[in-house]
Amino acid sequence: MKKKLLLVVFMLVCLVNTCFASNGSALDDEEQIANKVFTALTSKGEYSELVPYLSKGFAQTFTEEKFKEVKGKVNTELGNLKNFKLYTLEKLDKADRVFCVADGSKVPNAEFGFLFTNNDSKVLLNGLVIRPVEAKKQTVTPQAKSVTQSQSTTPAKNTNQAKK
Amino acid sequence: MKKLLLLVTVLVLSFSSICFASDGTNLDAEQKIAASVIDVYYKNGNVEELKQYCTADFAKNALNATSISRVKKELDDKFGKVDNIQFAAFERASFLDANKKAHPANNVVFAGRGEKNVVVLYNFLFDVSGKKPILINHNISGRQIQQQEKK
Repeated sequence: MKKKLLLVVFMLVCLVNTCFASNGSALDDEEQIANKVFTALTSKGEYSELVPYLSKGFAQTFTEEKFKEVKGKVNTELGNLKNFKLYTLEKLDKADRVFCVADGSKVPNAEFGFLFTNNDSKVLLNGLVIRPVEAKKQTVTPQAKSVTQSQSTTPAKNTNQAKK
Repeated sequence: MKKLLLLVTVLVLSFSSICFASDGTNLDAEQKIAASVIDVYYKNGNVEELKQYCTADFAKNALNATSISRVKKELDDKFGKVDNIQFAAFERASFLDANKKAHPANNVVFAGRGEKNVVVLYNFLFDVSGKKPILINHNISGRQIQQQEKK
């Protein structure tokens, strides 16, 4: 009986996760894949670990050879990378663009731009851009032409964000 | 036995949503709150229910009858009817409180198309330092759509 109970609960959790795929669950999946890519490119990760998360089209260009080339460039041009963090998700038509930033030993920050296809609740990596960026402070909310803005708080400058 | 099954199920679901609070979990909650604020301006949504998800200052300053009717009028004057309002972006941010102490925040953006040829952006800033996101500020702005010249 206990086994049956456990099975029902497990199936219910799976059902909830599958049927109610939201922007939030897609973001979690994308963040997980982004972390895997970062780990593979900056430590001892292997290309084979990334293959299940690559779209068919991207897998044709982002081959194992290309992966090794990118990994080498990341190491020589950006140095040792740490503090990898997601900072933006942009919603596109059946695709998401996710940007993450890491601190580098040879550059102040490195930006990782990921393009994900988001069809049938399955998220796959469809593009990757890595580049060094300069960290600049910027305000969080746009101020121009605003119709309304409550005065309840002081908008702060975002120190974590790297401007493109 | 059925009761026990139900109880365990509820507990597991609650546990999974509380213990694994991630960016995604926050985003889902923030999207829901943001959509409720938009509903207040366009569909006479429930203001009282919304107040539990906002700071006291925001509820007092932005969710009172005077402020809501002023914003409704301004939205109508500046953008006209707005269609297809959808989630557009999520951004990690931070904000300073009155004591200049920094707190983690999320900026959630919705976008729609106004009949006066503008893209309307709805920005919502959430404090995410607690267990649940709390709406602390919002901003609505318009960007004129540039017409391409025919060659």
